[in-house]
Amino acid sequence: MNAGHKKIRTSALATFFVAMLLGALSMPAFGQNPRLDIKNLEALSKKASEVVDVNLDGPLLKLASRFMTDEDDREALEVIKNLRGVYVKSLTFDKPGDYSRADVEAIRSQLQAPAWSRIVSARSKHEGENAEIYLMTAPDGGKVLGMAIISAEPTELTVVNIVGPVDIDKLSQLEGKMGIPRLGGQDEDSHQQPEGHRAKP
Amino acid sequence: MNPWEESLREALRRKDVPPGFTNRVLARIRELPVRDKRTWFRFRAFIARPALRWATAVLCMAIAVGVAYRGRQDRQRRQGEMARTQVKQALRIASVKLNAARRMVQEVNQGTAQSRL
Amino acid sequence: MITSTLDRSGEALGRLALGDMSAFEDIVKEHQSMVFSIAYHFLHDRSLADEAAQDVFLRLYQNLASIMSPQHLVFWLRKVACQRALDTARKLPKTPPVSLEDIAEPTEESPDTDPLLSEGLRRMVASLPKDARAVIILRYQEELELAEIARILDVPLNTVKSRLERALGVLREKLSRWTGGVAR
Repeated sequence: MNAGHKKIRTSALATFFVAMLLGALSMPAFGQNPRLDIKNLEALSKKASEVVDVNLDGPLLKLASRFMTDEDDREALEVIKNLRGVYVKSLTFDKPGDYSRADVEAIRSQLQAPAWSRIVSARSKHEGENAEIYLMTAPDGGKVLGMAIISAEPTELTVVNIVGPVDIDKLSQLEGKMGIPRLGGQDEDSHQQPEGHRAKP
Repeated sequence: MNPWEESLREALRRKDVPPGFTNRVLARIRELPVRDKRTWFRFRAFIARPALRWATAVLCMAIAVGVAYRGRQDRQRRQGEMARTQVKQALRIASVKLNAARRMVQEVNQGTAQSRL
Repeated sequence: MITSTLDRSGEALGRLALGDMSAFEDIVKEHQSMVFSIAYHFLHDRSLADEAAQDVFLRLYQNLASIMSPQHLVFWLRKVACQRALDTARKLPKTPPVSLEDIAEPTEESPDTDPLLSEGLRRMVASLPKDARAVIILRYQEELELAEIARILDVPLNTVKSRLERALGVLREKLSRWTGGVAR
C-alpha cells in the first residue's frame, strides 16, 4: 500500500470514529427513554374506586392543540406545544393499604436509570404523603427530555409522565388557571372542588 | 318459411282468452293484501329516465362522499375535543402534583415536614 | 291513430307510475292473448292454460316495480308464461304419445286453413319434450329470433338451435306419418 492510500485510509477511519462519537453523544444513552412503563398500574386499576387514565401521544397532542383555541387554552397550549406524550394514571382507593410499596417500586425502579435525575423528593409524615419529581435531561445537561411525578398518598397513587421538553415553570403556573384550583388559597377562576374528586373515566 | 312451417305457424296462432279472463285476474288481484305501490311506481318511473338515472347516480355518489367526509370531520372533531379535555385534565393533575411537591419542600424548609433532597 | 302494443303498454305503464291502478287492466287486456296462448300451446288444455295465465298476471301485479319498459314487460310476460306453463306441465301425469287414431284424416284443403291439421299440429307440439315445446311456441307463435328465445329461456343460443332442429325433426316425422308422407 502506498503512502497516498494509507493517508486516505487513515483519514476515512478518523472520520468514521468522529462520526460515531458525535452520534453517540447526540443519541440518548442506553435506557434513556423518557417514556415510563406503567403497565403494572393497569392491574392495580381494578382495585381502585376511581381511575383517571390519560394517554396522549404526539399525534393526539397535535390534534388536541388544534382544538385549544379558547383564551384560557393559551397557556396550556404553550406547555404542550413541543411535547411528544402526556401520560397520567391516577388511582383512588377506598382505604389505605389497597396498594403496596411494591406497586410504586415498579415505577420508581425505572427512574433509577442514570438518565433520570430526582429533583424533588418530599414526604409529609402527618398526612402520609410522598411526592417525587424526576427529570430526564440531555447528556449535555441542557434540554429537558422528559419528566415524571410520583405522588403517593394513603388512598391515592398518581403517576405523571411527560415526554418531551416540558417547561416546569409554565406547568407550575397553570395551577389557578383553566379551572385548576390553587391549593392553600382562593382562586377566583375556579369553582371546582379540591383535588381528589375525580370520577372514573 | 316452407309450407309446413307455415302450417305450424298457423296452428300456433294466438288464441282468444276464455270469456271473463280479465275479470278473473282482477278478482284475484283484489283478494291480494293491499299494498300501496303508487308512490313507489311514481318514483320508479321518475328515476327510470336515462338522464335522470345518471344524474341520480352521480348525486348519490356525491352525497355518499360528502357524508363520508363529513362523518370523518365529525369524528375528528369529537376526537379533538376529547383530546383537548384530556390534555387539560392531565396538565391540571400534573400541575397540582408538581406544586404540591414543591410546597411540601417549602414546608420542610420551614420545619413542618421532613424532606430529603 | 294506430298505436302499437308497445305504445299502449308504455302508456299504461306510465299511468301506473302515476298511481292509476286501472291501467293494469289495460295491460292485462293488451297481453292476455299472448300469455294465454303460450300456456295453451304448451299444455293443450284451456282450463289449465287459463289458470296458468291468471297466475302470470298476478305475479306481474306483484312485481310491477321491477318492470323497466314496455319491451321489458313483453319479455317478462313471455318468460314467466313459459316458466309457469312448464311448472304446470311438470305436475301433470305423463301425457301419452299422440295416437294417429285420435286425429282424423286430413282433408284435401290447403294446409294453412286446415283446422284439423292445425289441431293435429297443436297436439303434436304439446307432446314434444317440454324444453323443445317452449322453443317451438316462441318461434312459431311469437315469431321470435333464436337469440331472443335464448334470452327468454336463459339458455345458450346453440341449445336453442339444437332443440329447434330436434323438435322440427320430430314434428316432421309425426306429420309425415299422419299425412302419409306429404310433409317435407
